[in-house]
Amino acid sequence: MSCEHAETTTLLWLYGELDPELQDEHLRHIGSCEACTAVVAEHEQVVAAVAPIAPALRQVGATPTPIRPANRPMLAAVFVLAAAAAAAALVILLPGPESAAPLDTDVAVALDTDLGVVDPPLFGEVDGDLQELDWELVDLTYDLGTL
Amino acid sequence: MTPEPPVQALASLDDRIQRNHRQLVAFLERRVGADAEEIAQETWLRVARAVPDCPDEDAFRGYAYTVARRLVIDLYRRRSVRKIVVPLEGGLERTASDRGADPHESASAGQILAEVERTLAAMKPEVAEVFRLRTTTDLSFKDIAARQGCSLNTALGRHHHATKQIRKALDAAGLVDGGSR
Repeated sequence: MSCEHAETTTLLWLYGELDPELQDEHLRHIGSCEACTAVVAEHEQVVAAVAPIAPALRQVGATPTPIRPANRPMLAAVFVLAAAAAAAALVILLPGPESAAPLDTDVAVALDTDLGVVDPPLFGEVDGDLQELDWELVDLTYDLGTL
Repeated sequence: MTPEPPVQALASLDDRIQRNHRQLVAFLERRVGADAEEIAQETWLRVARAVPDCPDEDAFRGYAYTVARRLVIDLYRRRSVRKIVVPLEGGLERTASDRGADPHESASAGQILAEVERTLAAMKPEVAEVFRLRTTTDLSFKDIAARQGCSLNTALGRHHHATKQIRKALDAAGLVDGGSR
């Protein structure tokens, strides 16, 4: 049971929004159409039930108007521009590899090397320990050779 | 089938109205109370104008109830109904009319409100919005469609969908009057 008018013209007729000159004609259609008659009955029952609480319905749980499709392209453009601006800001602010300022330690090492200063304290201690290990290894090798 | 002469046609129409008037008034009284008689008279006028030569009794009765339902909807939109706003959890102020609210009626109104809100909350926002706007404002379907940026048929479809869902929910909760003819 279906009719192309059930959810369109019949609803306009039912809620008084159909052109006046079409109303009598459409009434004659509804009278002979089960689908449209059922729609009329269904809507009238709901309107009758909801009418007493309609003022409260307005107050409670109002939903925001959804974004209309016509605004979506504009919103998309806004987001793209914002993303592009953010990306451009990152490019400007972050330094490139060639322009990177030398680190202080690099400069210190280069200066020390140029001036011939060797054995910065930390590396000196490590080299010393390694040297002792080398001597111990030599002794062990000799001992093993004489066995 | 030979067409009836005009005088006999009018007599036939009048007979049909007489036979169905009491039942129609009873149907309308459940919905609009004291306005039932006025609505019934308007119903017969419109039916007589639109289908003066209706072929059979059942079809005639069908026309009558269809027109009556339409007039009921018109009436709800025109008149100020008794505003019964019952306190819910979360607090709505009670604004019963001067005539006072029957406690049973208030409880039923509260249940209906809760059921309708629950059903609307489960719908897509744009669908629920059509129902709210059509129920609580004077906006036409054409205005609502413009507001939502959709076609008139889409707005009508959304409203029909919302109404069907609410009808189903109210019926399941035993809150809707079948009131069949």
